Amino acid sequence: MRIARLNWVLLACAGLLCATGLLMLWTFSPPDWDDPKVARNVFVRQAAFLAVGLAVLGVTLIPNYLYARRAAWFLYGACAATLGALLLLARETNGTRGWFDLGPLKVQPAEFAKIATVLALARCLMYVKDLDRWRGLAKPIAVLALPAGLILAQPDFGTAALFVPAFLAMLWAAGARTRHMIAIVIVLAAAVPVAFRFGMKEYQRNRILSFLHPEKVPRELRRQQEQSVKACGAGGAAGRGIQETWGNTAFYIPERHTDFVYSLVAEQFGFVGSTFVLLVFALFLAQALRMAYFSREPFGRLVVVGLSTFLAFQVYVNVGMTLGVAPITGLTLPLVSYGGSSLLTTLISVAIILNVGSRWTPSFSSRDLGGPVEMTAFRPHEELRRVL
Amino acid sequence: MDRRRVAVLAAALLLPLAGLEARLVQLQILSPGKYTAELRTRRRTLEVVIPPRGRIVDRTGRTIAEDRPCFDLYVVPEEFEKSPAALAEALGLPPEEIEADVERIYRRIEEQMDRRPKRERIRILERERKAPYLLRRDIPFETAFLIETNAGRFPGAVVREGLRRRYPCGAAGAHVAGYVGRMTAEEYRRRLDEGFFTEGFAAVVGEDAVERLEARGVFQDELTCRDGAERAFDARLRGKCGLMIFEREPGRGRTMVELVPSVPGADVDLTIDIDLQRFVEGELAKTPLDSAAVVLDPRTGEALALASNRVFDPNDFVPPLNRAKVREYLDNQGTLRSVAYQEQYPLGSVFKIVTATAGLENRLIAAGTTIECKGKFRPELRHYNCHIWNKTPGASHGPLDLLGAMERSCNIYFYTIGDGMGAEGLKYWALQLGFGERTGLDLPAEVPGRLPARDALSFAIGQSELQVSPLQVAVAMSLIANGGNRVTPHVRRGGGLPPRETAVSRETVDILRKALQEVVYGEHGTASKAGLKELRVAGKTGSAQAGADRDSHAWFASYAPYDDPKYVVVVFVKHGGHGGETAAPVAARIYQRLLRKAATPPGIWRAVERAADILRRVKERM
Repeated sequence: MRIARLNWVLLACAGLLCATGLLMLWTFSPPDWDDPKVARNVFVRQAAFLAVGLAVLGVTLIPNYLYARRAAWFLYGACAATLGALLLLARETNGTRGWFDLGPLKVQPAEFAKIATVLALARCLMYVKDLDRWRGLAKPIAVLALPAGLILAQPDFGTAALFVPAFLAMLWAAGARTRHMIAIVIVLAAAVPVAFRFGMKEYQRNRILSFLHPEKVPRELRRQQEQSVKACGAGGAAGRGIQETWGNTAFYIPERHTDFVYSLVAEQFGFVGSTFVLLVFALFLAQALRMAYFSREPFGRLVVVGLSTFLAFQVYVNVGMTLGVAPITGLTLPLVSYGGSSLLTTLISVAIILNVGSRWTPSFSSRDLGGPVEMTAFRPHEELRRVL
Repeated sequence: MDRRRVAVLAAALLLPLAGLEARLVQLQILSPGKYTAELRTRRRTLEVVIPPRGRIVDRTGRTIAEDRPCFDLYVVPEEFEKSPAALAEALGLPPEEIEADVERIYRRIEEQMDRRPKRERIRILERERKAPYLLRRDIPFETAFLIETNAGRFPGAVVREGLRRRYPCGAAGAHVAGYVGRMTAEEYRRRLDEGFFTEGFAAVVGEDAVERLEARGVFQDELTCRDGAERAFDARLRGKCGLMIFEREPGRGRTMVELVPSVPGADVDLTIDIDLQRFVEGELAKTPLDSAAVVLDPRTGEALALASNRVFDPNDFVPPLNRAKVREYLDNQGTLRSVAYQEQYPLGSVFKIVTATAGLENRLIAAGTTIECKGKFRPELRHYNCHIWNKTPGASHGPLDLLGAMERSCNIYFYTIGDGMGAEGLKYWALQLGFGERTGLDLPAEVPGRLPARDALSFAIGQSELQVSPLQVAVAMSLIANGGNRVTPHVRRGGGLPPRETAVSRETVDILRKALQEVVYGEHGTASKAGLKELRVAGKTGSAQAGADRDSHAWFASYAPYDDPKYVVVVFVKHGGHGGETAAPVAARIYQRLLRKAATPPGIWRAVERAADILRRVKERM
């Protein structure tokens, strides 16, 4: 891989977001270096996670991403097995089985499953001819349904729901028919009220109700979101400035450093800061999709589309929840929120997107090149020869 | 594959961000004053809700321990500085004492400051000086009223409703009830590390918030269980702390939101009959000597009374301490120890029950075996004599069978069995009857007793190094009364293990029961003073040697009614002289009381008790 081909803009966006997250954690709980328990401080922990995550990002950039194409099914199988084991083995915390508790670390397999599912879907959607018929859609739907179903069973409704837009985006990019996709959307929309009535637990229903009909839910359940909206509003145009947020703010928000980290940005840096963060996210997504646009290799293109959609929807849902325009789901803000598993997997996603963008791959499809190809003009790239 | 589709997708993905941006404009630009105004006026505090502790209730449903509402006095250090004198006068305390308490509060604030980085210290001091700190618990109603209605005179003083542990029965059953008191520094640390106070908080407010709560010292005023049932059943009695957010907004008062619900402690039902307990304690108090009495139900092991002559009032220990009294209790080493199960003494002739069991079970003797008492066990041994010889040298009981030997408590008969059994053999049967090991009582700090390993002759009549607690004797007597089953004595209703069978056979028990009845009703019986007409009592006296020139320890172990045992009563008087003279009459009075209680319809009894209770409370108030 040549350094020159790396998309430095995208990498800089990711770096900025991580730095914002660290800054917010610093204000949330400044580390006291004299304290022997300083290693439990969220800022210190997140910095350590970030160091590990950047190392993993660097390593993931080195091999050609096409190796991931070969390993896609294996990774997918491993993640599905882990999710299954999680349901059977993990201890229940707060009513869900989402984590493996490995002493100081909590591993959340659902985060890794996102990447593995995108890889597997890209693998089975590239070069398929019958995607314009229902029969051809069966296999991708099955590939999606297994991990999404296992995550839904934890139950983690928010994460499972993220799989749907990513899947639709990939289908769309792979060339599925628009009316098939509309049909899928209609079926899913019809399933939502059924799931609401029978599939959800009380607290999940309350979260959605408190969003749709605030008056139907007791006040203390609406409180977390109300407080968050107030804190964001109190930020005003320029923000209240950096301050120790726990002791001083008038608005107490549970889980503020994880799910509601955006409220810290909005309160301290106001409209300017929160807009800046959204713009960085927009630039990040634009760069990623630009790579997908220019990539000529269908697997890479689909992977970038899938991962970008995952990240984009996570941003919408999280920021929307913080600003009071989406229900509470427990999704983190990628790269900014506190949390090791989430940070690590997002950085891996970033690495894969960068990897796809930094490879040059010739296409064998005449359609992509806009006409018949002269085979004599084809000079295989040395890197390509290594891979194939 | 179509590149145009990727472009469409890019547009679709970026569009919602514009929507979020619009929302930001609405929140932060278009309504600027709406939220910042609230920001300036709102004060929020995270507070811990301490749950009430469960009640301790006796077998008739009377309360032994409960949390009663009271008024606690808090002070806000910043405003308070100016007026300790007025407050001291209102409380009727010397100003120095109040100043010492305020000093303590400042020390606590300093502790908090030391734990945070330097740059934050001034701010912590500023904040904490404005927070209310507990100064005294349970101030009198009149004082609370005075402070509440004259806020100007007592700046910085705040009265809040609180709970205070009370023991309405006072000294009755104090050892059984136990008490609660202030935690020591180590206890506090240990409980904190166990997550005793903050269980479930971290998941809601985060670990940092929990640490800050702790740093504020909100748990340091909590009380810990110290002894008796309070200690033994603490896990059930204490509830779980809750967490609340209080918000104060000018003009709108306080609102609160429960984050973690508090769980009140559960009640504990005891098998103790507090009225009987009080009666027995009164009987024991008639002599100045240390003494104890145990009343058990031999069928189940339920303890009806575990009394000791030593008494203390657990109310004195609950902060604010009654310092003079507590110092007195602590100076008198034994006061907080119950003679009934926390001390051990030589048993004397009551142990002959064990020796007889050993002899019968090993076929050394049968019910009809006669052994002749010549006054001395062997002429060449100086110290192994029958008590009749010790009184008048040369006298003897003559030939006796087991019933006769038990009735007159003849030493020679049992020396002979002991000689045949050896110390190890006697030890085996002593263990079977429950001596030499803890009985399994569900109260803390029970003594195990001690069995000698040599000198089988002295062992056979309960001397040598044998040490037992009155409760162990009651367990042994229960075994005889219920036909050979070992009970686990307990004070919690439904507690204790079910009675279990031992190696003691039914025939042996039947012979012993006849013998024990002879002790009370026989012509030469040593316990004739315990014989009641209306209730057939069976028992055994003991007078254990307690050193060269001191009176022996008096024991009387018994059960009744003879044919359908319902009660086991064991009485012990330290240095009380002869068991039949000192201990047996006490047992007789306990039996009379039990009879009277059984004969009176429960309704009338309760009414009488209630009246007595009201009288006592009125007295307390005066």
